[in-house]
Amino acid sequence: MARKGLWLGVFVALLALSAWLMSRGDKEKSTVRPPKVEFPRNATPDESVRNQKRRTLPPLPSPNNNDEGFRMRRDPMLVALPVDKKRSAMVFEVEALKETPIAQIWLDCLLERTDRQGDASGLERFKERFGIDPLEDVERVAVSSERLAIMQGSFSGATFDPSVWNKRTYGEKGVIYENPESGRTIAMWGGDMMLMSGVSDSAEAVEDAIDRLESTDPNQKSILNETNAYGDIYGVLSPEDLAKMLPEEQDALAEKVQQVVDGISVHVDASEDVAIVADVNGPGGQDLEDLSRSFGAALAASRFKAKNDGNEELANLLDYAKVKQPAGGHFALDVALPIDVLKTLGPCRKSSPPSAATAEPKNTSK
Amino acid sequence: MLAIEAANVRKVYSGWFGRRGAQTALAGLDIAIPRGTAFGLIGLNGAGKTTFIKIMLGVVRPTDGVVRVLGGNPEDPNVRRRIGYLPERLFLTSAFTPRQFLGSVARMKGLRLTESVLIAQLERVGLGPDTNRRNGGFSKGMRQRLGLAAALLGSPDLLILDEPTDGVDPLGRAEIRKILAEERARGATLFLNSHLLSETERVCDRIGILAAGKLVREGRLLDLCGSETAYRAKFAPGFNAPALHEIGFRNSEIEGEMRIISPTPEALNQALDAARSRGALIIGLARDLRDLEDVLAEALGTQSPQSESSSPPQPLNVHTGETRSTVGQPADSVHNIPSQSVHNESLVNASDLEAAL
Amino acid sequence: MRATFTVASDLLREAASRRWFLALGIGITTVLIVLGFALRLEVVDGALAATRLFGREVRTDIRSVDVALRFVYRAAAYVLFYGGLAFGIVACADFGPSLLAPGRIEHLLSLPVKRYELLLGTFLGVLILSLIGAVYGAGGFTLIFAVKTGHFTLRPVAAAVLAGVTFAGIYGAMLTAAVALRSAALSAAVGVVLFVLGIIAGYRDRLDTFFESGAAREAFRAVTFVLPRVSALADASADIAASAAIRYDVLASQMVGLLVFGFASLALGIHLFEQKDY
Repeated sequence: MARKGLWLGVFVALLALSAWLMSRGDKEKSTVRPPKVEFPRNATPDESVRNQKRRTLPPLPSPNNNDEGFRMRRDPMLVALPVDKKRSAMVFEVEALKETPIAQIWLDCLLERTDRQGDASGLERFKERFGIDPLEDVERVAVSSERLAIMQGSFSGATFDPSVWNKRTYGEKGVIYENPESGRTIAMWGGDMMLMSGVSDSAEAVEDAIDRLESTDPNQKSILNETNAYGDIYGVLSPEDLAKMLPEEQDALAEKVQQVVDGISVHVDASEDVAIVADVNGPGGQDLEDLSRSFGAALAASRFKAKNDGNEELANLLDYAKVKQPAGGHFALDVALPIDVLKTLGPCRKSSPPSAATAEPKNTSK
Repeated sequence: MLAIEAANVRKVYSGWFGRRGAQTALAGLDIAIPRGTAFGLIGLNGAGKTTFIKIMLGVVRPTDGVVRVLGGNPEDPNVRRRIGYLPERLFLTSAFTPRQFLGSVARMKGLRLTESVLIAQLERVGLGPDTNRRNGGFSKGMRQRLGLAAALLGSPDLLILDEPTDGVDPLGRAEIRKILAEERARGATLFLNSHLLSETERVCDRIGILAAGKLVREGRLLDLCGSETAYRAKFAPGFNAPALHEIGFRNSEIEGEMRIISPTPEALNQALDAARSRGALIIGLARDLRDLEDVLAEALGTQSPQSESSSPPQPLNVHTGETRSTVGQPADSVHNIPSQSVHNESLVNASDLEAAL
Repeated sequence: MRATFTVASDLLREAASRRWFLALGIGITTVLIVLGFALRLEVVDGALAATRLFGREVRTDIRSVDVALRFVYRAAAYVLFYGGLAFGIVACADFGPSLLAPGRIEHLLSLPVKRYELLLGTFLGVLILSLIGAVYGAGGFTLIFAVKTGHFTLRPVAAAVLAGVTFAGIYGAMLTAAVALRSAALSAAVGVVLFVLGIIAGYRDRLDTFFESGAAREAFRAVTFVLPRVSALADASADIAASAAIRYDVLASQMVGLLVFGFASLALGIHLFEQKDY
């Protein structure tokens, strides 16, 4: 009977111990946030509707001066961007971005730094100077390698101190403000667009942009067309600019890029974790295939090097880098930046939680 | 020294719903088996034989009572280490060869036996040619032989054999009997449970009859089966039966044979002399013994169906004077000669009889 | 313990002769051979550039080979974990009843062994068997990819070991069921029930919200509290295989907990076994 009780007792004790041991993982697991990366590959229905509403410019006339074919109305922001294919341009959907986790982190960081320094932030200074709140009044911002920044939004409250800014009109709807002291040039166009030149003492970039907005040249084409306007950030990179961005040890790759690539369109989704898709376009064939492999190899080599150098942050970022196989004259380069990894970067970095730092992204495509 | 000792052993198998459906397998069994004995336990199906065997092995726990085997508790592995057991239906998986099976049993017994020892053991039970054959295709007899080989591993002090010759061919049975005789000669105690009563008769010197969970009869084989004063005499054709009736001979169920009760050898010889003087020619004489079947039937209060008919020829042992005849057990002054069964024992030749007399 | 090891080794020998396990061995070996010959992986500077199966190109992303293999290993870990568990439940359900078969159990119990050693030996045998199967499959799989890509990791093997341990935990309960009632079907049924409930128990913190707060939810939590967290361990196994970071202290706790669950079940089985007549 003693043995009878013994094994029953062992059973109860072991069952209790096992239940306790197994339950230790129950709570821990639920706190781990699975990374959610959505690679933007096409416009979402919401983005399509948004793009449609933004087509406020009348269509260009037919190149042959006849009415054959349907001509689409145009998005003024895209029209204002450069036409030169050697230029690059990126559009930031501020209204969408400011709701994203990464923007929240960035804003928190900004506020923390401002509090720490006891000085007004750049956003505050901008608001004080021009009466425009970048976070409230700006819908989107575009920058181009022409050193031109274009903002679109609600600028009815914009103010320019006449004692600082010289005002002149340009074209049908353009008003240019020039600051002789700083050499800066800002233009307002149509009440909802603000154009800022990054070149001192030169209004050329701004004037060119207004010219494009008001032009009726049927052959005019922006480097960024409407079909590529999707994602929280999007734009085009010229092969030359991409080549310049590559590190020195990738000179061979940079040269290949300039030889093979026609252009690169970039799309970023930041609605959850940050996902970047770079579509590399070219003539296709073996050269493009080789280039895609070279990119993959370069990413792998960089990742191994980062690991060997002990640069875990970079290595972790490159964990999510991949190249899609070429198809139809283009291939995609995907990079994911999980929020938990991004938190560990930049001036307000936080220590990386181990569960998230190397977690696999859940790949989906828009 | 006792090999097996049981006092008031009861075993009640409880049913699914407590006492309802409970079955009593043993109802107060008392038994004492000395070491070196060849004991046969017989009884009808459901008498409790297998239950008692399992209790002796610690496989089944008694509801009540005490069982001691080789002086210890059978639940003690050290006691079981000294027991060799052959179950009635040994389960063998087809995964093993006989050699592997024996190796496994040896390991569990804590024996470090070499391959040659294992093979010798298999050869001893007649499985030499099947050493490396898978058990899967083994016949019942081969399984029993293998089980016996496993039981014999480690030269146990007590061999408990449940139907050891069941399914074994006649020559194989003789081989097994020889092995068991060797084991007895070594000093091992045999405990045999067999439905083949003739086998039990041949192997065992003590018999226990179990009925309804109780030992109803137990003793030496001779004591149970025989009467030391009853004889059968066979006469040459043409003898005068009424004349023989006058001197005490009685008719037997076999033609040419007559029975006589003689309390002493002298009285027997006088009766024989008287028969001869009346012209009867004696051509055979044997002790008038019953077989186990009759004993079992008597103990259980039923009638043996075979007691009404003749049995096939069996060896007969005849003794004279104080030397008793025994079955299956060599003894001094015992003659082992082919004969009828103990029950209908055939009669010895006159020359043999004379020599015996 | 001598008897325990003997029973375990006998079980392995018995398993080797069973069709189920022969089929498993042949199946795994065939898959490995086919993979070995039919799969071509082109690695360029540490990046998996192209994949060909039976000479046909499989469209895969070009990325670091170890990262690319994470997805393969993760998928393989899930297949091995859930597939292995399901296979083990079906294939091993008969070991307990076979041990307790008439003519075998009384023979075993007549030998100088303790009863618990027989059950412990069977449990140990199944644990070893599941580990051998898991390590053979995962090891071969890993080796093939290691040879083809130059990237070697033991993580998939570690993941497979986790699957083996998980099955052993479940098998403890299956063996106990077999002791209670000598039936392979019952043993398998207990395994299947634990398998399914274990998947639910692994997500108990998420699933309890489906129950009304109060008695129903508490009952759900109480029942799942003692059950093995099968799905949690499957996820952990996949995470290990895919080199994803996990809380090893938590994993160790759950893994040990599962083994202890197996031993707890076994203790109940021994308790029943000790009371039984054969």
